[in-house]
Amino acid sequence: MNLSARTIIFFPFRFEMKIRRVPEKCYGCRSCELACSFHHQGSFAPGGGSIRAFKNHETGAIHWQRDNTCDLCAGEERPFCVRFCSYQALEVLNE
Amino acid sequence: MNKNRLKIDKVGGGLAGKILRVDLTREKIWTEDTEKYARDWIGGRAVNSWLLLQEMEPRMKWSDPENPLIFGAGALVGTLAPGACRLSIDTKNVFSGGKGSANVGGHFAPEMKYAGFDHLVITGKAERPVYLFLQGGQAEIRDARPIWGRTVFETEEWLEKEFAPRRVRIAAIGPAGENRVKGSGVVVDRAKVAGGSGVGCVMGDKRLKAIVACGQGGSVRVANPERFFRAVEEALRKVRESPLTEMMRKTTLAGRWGDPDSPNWDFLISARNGQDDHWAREKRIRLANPETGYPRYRRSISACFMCPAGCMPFSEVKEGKFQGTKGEGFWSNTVMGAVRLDITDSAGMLKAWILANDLGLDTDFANSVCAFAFECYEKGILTREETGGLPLEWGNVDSLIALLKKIAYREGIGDLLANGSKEAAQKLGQGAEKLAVHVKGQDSIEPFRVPKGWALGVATSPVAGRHLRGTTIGGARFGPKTASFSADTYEDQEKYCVWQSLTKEMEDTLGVCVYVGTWSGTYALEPSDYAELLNGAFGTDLSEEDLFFQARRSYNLEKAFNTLHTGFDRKDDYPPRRFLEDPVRSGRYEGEKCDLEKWDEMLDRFYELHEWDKATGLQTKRLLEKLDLAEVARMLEEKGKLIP
Repeated sequence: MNLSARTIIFFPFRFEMKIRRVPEKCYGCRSCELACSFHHQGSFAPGGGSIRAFKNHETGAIHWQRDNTCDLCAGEERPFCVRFCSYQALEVLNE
Repeated sequence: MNKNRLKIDKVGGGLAGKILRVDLTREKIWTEDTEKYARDWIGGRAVNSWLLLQEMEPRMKWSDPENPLIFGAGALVGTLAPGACRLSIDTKNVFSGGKGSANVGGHFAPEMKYAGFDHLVITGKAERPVYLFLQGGQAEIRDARPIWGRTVFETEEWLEKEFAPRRVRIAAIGPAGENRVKGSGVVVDRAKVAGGSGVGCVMGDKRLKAIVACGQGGSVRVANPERFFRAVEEALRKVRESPLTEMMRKTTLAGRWGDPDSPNWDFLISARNGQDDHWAREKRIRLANPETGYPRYRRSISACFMCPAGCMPFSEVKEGKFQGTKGEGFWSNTVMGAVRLDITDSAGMLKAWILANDLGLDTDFANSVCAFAFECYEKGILTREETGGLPLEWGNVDSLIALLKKIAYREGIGDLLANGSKEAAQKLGQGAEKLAVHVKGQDSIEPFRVPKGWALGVATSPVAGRHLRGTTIGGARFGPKTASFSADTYEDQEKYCVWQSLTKEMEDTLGVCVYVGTWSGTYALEPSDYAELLNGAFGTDLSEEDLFFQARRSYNLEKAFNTLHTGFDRKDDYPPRRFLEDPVRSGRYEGEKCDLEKWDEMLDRFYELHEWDKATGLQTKRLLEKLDLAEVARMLEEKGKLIP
């Protein structure tokens, strides 16, 4: 299993996959954001990947964004954000 | 244990790399490498304890500019280690004069590491109010006059706007800290408070309003990613499989109180300032029942950074007198506080809790000192004239809310209470001393008469009267197992208490929250998990035994600090007078009180397990040499406080 971002294996079907967050299951722990940054940077650097998560202090709601730098963790068995989400709040959808 | 040295030759990851030093008097900033401290002490509270012991002379008072205020993120903070988010703040305890230490979660500690710093050591006093800004391994002292006087929420909002669109995390004090209320805390993410020991009071005394960390561009590496990720997955599996995780997620810890027959009501409460350790069933239902109490207001639950459990409720009151109250809060401690004041109005209690956070008060202190005032009022020691017209009657939540403001701003009666019940009682006289429930000078909200191991942990806590250093009512999935253990007997309590104080030491060193660890919460992770996570991050090969050895070392640093700075010994490790004299008035444990003879025997066994001298409670030369603490032994010997 390759844990660094250096080796990229091409999985054609990944382009038909999507990651979806189930808001009611998300607790805002930012594990997805940190795991994602590791895929991109080889170190833990929040904001250094494709995902950003933050909480609205007025409403308690968790806001979550994924930008277009996401490559669905090319080279990895499963996207890191999904793999390390403790709340099963992220789902991989095959379309 | 045959080891006598911790061997870490190189730290290959896990750290931000630098310790920031700030002298606020001279406005000087410099840094040093973290690694040499991490090799000896790993991180978090253990490094803080060592720095404090080394750099603070016993003659110094908490209000001396030289008193260092030390922030330390745990060794695993900033990585993907489950529950690794904790910050330890250490300084001289404003109540006891001994070790001061408070711990907080949220998202600040990791941001501090991404901004480049594992620890901050702040000395001096600023001439005018300031805040610190950290980013990219650089620090800046900035003018805080625009936010001095503002509440915590206002301060966070102002600073967030100031730095937008950059994402920042803030540790701030409120008016309570500014006004040097002894029981004030440092607040993170608006709702999480490093309470206890008066860390907010020391920060206010230094005229340091806030620390703002921006981790943009920063990162934390791990030395052995394969090993680290394996350890993370194993830890997450344990959290998933813990039977308590689902409960935490559904209801938070406070959810355990929803059942009026839960054993919590027998073991964890003390009513009306400790007059009784039983609270009527109908009151339990009114406060905590899902249909009638605070769970009605819960809108959602969220998690701290990297936490796989999730225990922070966001609540909102949509009707009644307290309509519009919203924010994070209502924990087990809120229930303990409500019972102490005999309050059953859960919306009002939520309002009081959120207000205390906004004012920057340590809520355990606030509820405890207010309960003292309520009882003084009941006994006629305080009159309505003296309270500024406030009827401090049991159950009156409006009076509590008004009193919190008076304390934070030191208005009227609040000024008397702001220094804690011990000092207030000395001024009031008329028998008020017995009503002041404190341990080593710090107000305590804890029950003592029924749960013996809980009481032992609180009475012997190095940070004076708090429940996060060894308290137990059993239930841990790991650790000592004895067939006869029961929370209400004196047998075997010391075994759990010592084990729990060492695992907490580990948790604070690594920065992992006890709620995913060995205390309360999910009981998911155990010391072997900590060793493996640390090995992956640091690139070491430490065992669970190594971590226990290390925990004993750093636990003994706090003990030594107290001996050097205060002269605490065996005589200071007893419950407050009230619990030795007055029995429980009603309920299952009616008639129960602390038994001095049995307490003494339990204390003997506790010291024996710690390998401290039974007669005095002091450390021995043999132990400190075994723990590779010759330097500490020398310091104690010089003062004549080391048992040969």
